Amino acid sequence: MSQDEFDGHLQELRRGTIVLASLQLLREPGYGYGLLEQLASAGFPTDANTLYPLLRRLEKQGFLDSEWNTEEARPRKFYRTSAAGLRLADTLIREVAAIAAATAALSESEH
Amino acid sequence: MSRPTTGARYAERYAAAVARAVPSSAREEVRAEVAATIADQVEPRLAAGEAVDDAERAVVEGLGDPMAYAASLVDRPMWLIGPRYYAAWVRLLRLLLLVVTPCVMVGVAIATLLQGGGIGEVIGVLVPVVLQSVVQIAFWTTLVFFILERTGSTGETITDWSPDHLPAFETRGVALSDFVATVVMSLLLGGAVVWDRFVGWGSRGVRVLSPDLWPVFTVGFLVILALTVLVSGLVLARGGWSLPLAVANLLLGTVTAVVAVVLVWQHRLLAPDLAALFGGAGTTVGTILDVILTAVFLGVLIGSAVDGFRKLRRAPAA
Repeated sequence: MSQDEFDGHLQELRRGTIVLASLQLLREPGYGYGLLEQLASAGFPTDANTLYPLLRRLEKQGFLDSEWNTEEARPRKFYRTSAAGLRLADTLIREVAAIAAATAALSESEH
Repeated sequence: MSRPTTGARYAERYAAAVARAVPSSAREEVRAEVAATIADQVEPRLAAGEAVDDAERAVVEGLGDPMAYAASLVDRPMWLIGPRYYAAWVRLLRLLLLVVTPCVMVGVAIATLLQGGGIGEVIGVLVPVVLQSVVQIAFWTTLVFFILERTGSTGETITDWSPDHLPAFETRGVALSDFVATVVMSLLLGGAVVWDRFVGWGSRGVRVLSPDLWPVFTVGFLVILALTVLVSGLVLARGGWSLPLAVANLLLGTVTAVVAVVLVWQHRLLAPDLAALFGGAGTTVGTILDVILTAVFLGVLIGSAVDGFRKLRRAPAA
């Protein structure tokens, strides 16, 4: 059975966790590409054309603040999790934990 | 750090293409963001020894179609009609096509016939008119929903669904009312035809139908009426339509309608002296009557056949 067959479902499952991980990681200001690498090494691999629109959306919704940093050689847009973003992150973390517990309970009751 | 300028300039062209596809208020910011995004991803490739054009090309290829990327940045739908409106769109489109197209057809046919056109001319006029009305209905309906989808209206649509819209199953009660209606209509029609032949209407005993229809066509019509009642009775007995019964119903209707229409256009259906009642306007009135009768016969035929098959489809499998 090929892995491709599961890709759609796996992507769907992971999508929400990217938001959570980004909000957590951006407690320290970071920019898009740097965050992409941080996410990958933290175990949340994602690609650029998923992450950038997502950061933009979170910023629009007020969960991220942004600022252009022009001090370096190339201007970069830095994001930082806002107060609302921190609350969202806490909620999401509790939810993921609840889902993990519920999933574990499901597989236990089966055996 | 300066980037060498090349003829290809994929990064700049990509950033410009994305920026063009977003609202002008966000354009400059999006352009800068996309350029920074690409530059970030190009950098490690250059460090690994890749050529600038190759690196930029690979990165923008990974980002995909600029219009799609722009749409994802500004939350703009990438579809004509999304799930929110799809059901309403289908329902409204189907309703309009079913109601408006036949009305247009009948109207155009009558207008053409009244202007002295033959059957061939009617068909010639109908084909483009039907195509046009279908295209127009589909286009305008879709355009309205296209705009609704993009203006972000979350208001209730006129065709919002509720459980009351669920189609009813054919029940015995409905079949009984159909049977009663068929019997009553058949008695009235058959009685009227016989009355017309032997008694006539009013004090002067006016006859509407041609006396030459007796006996073959009149008796044939009465037989068909009896068979229609029989079919309706069988439907009642088995509690719903079956395919053979629906086909029998369709055949009976078709025979009646075709014979009647042919008789109309051979001027053998109506009594010859009927037109004389209208004096000088007799010829025009005769033509109008012919057209109306044709429309009525065909309408009744189509209506009855469609009704039978629709109920057949809804009936629980026997």
